[in-house]
Amino acid sequence: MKKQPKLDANGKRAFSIRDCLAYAAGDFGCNMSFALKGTMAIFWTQFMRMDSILYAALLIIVQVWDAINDPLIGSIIDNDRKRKYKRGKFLAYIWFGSLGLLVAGALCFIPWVKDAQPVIKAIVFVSGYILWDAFYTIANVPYGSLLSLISNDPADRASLSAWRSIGSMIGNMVPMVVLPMLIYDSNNNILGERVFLIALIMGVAGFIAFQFMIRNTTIRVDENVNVGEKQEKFNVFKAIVNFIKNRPAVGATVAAMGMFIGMQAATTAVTVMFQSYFKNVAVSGLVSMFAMIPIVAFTPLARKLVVKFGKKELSVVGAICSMIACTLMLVAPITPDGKGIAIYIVCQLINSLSTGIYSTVSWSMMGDAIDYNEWKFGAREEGTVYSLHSFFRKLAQGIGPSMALVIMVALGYSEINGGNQLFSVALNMRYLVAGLYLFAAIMQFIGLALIYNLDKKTLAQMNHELSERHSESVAVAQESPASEE
Amino acid sequence: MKRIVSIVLAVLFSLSVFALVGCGNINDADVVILWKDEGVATNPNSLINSMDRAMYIEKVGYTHMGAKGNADEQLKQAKEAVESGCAALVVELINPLHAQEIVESAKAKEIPVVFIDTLQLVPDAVVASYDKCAVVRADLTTVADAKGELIADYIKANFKKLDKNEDGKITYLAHDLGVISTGAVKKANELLATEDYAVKGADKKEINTTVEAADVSITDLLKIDFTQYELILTATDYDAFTVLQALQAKDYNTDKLTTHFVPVITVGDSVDYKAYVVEQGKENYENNKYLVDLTVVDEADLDEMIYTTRNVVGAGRLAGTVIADDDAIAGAVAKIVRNMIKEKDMFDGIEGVDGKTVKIRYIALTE
Repeated sequence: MKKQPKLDANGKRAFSIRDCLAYAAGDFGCNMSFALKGTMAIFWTQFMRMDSILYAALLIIVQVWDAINDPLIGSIIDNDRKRKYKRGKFLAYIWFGSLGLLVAGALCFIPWVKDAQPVIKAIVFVSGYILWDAFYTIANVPYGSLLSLISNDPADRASLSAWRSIGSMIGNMVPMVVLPMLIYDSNNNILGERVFLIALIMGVAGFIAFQFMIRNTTIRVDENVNVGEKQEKFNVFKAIVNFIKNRPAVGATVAAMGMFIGMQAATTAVTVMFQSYFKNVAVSGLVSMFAMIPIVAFTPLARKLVVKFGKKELSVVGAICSMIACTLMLVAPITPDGKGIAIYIVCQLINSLSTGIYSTVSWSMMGDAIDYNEWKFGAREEGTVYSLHSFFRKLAQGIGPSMALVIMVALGYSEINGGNQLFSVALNMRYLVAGLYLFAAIMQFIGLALIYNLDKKTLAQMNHELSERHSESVAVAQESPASEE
Repeated sequence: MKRIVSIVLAVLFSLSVFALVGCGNINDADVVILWKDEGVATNPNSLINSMDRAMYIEKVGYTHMGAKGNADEQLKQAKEAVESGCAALVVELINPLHAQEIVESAKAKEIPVVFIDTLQLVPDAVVASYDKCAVVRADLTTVADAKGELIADYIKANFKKLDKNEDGKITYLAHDLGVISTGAVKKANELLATEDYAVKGADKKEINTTVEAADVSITDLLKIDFTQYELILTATDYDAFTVLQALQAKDYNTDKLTTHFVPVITVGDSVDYKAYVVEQGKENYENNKYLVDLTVVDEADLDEMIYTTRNVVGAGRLAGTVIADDDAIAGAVAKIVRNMIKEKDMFDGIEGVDGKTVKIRYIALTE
């Protein structure tokens, strides 16, 4: 006889590890599509022979679209209230998105127009990216919202968040290590046709992960309650003024931009450095994996350390370590051999400590920044603070890689030479990588140490005063009806 | 906690200082490297580019100088470098008759001299005449063996596809009067004879010993029925391009028909494809452009590109070529220079030393 699942008070299957695994699978699915994004610059400039400057310009265009795309598709999902879906609206959208992502990832890597005119290549790149981005957003935006719909218990939500991180980590690390071994030949040149095939395979893997998630997820919170709330009209000027006055929000945003510049802008330069400087692009994934060790190691300790030392204090120490590591990366004798790779790994291990600390507390810092808004200005303005924070993050994700590519060209990078650049250029890439990481670390330090002003003591004071204000307002609210009577 | 953080930061700062101390070159005065051509690194697949890399690894400060093919200019540059008190002289010799004079002028100031000798121009007696002189050579005696290994590896990996008539043998066309290919085929057969693998019932594979040596002219090549050949061997990459031109005139080795493919294995990577295309004349350009896969590239665009045999191999039009190992040659030169500047045994840590000569083995380059 089939075992009946345990039910909760509303007659739904009780929250269990099944939900956590399903939620983790969702992020794994998203990453199966997202992981190849870092390969696009190398594919389009070295294999497709697109001019690097043209690619950088097109990348900015598609990133602007990306920034518009998120709220656009979010509003489409929010406004879809009349139609009834078997598994609920959010899962239905994720299913549709996952269906598109089966092939959309590969559409960014169409190799057959290699010999076409530049304008044709540009059209293929832009349309492929836009399609991929649309399907990715259709799957990813409702996936993010799903956390609050699976359970309204804070402990369950914390578990889901932790499992999401695990899904994300696996989805990130597996392609990060395996892809460089598969998509480059023995001469460190990218194998364009193979990238297309791998994108298809990853699309299928992502689709399977999404289907597992959809079939094993139970919605326990009414979707319409979440989406039916009245949205405040967005006043861009008022929002910017408020945002600029909010030091913690600005500080956390500058730090986040730094993190993204470090993580994403340097990606292409890192690949070229491994291709031409170390002449061993296949190991780049393994090196990146080593660099993730502090992130993995720090995550379980994060809560305890944050409680003991404070978010700002801990993040600032991380940023200082990162600055020292990047300075070391810049000046150390990182020679183009095994010894050089070993020194590079050590520098990256220390550098990623900062990313490990900051990525764990970044969203929590933004939460504190919203509280700060209320503490100082009397209004929370979550929407405006979050949307501007998100906008600047996207800006860093879009402009960063484009600017990095322009700098690479200025330093002699030539897409025609593929994975075998002149040594002088390779040496420039080795310094550019260290320079970009150092720039990112300095931005993080400025954001966290000099702008973000909620240290442990101030945060405690703010929370105490806000708590008192809330208690007072509750008391006033309770007294008001009585006085009216 | 504060104490731990302080210790960690102190250690990291010390590491930075240590790293800074570890940087910098070992020599006060520059090593002067005299090249026979321009002396500027423009092609990533060049000895000069490998030299940049090797000198950086060995922390040797240096200056490139090019004589643009002028032997007298090179001699003048060598004397000026010696007069200016360079740390060492590295010479890619143009005229063998100038070798002794260069060595003598360096000897007078006790400046070490290292010859880069890929074409075997430097007389051994000249090298022997000065204790601070050495020569690094691409070892021509290894070409046939390296080519034989390349042929054997290619056959092992592609036998089913290669053996079109399924007779268990690979019928080849030698386009080089048989000098290098004979030795290469002998080596390939030795290597294949030790392999115990079965393909379509046959348990031992071999390359047919001889078929015919074709004339070098493109006119005669165009008369050949390529269906009867399963492999083509040429002695130089220039010859390989001529063969490819003939093959592509009959739609072989292009993207048009994947069944029309005869692997070509050659020696060398010195041919500048761009110059080759220009030399062949515009009327042949339509065919030549298939040598690589730039089917839509305008002739004007070629000016910005460096296309050599490596690119043609990389594009799959040539199955492979045997080349001088630039990285190994440059690495040996840089190490000798470093050792001599540091007044150590000049061949410390170097393999392939024979007297005062370092012999560098040829290597295979495949797609």
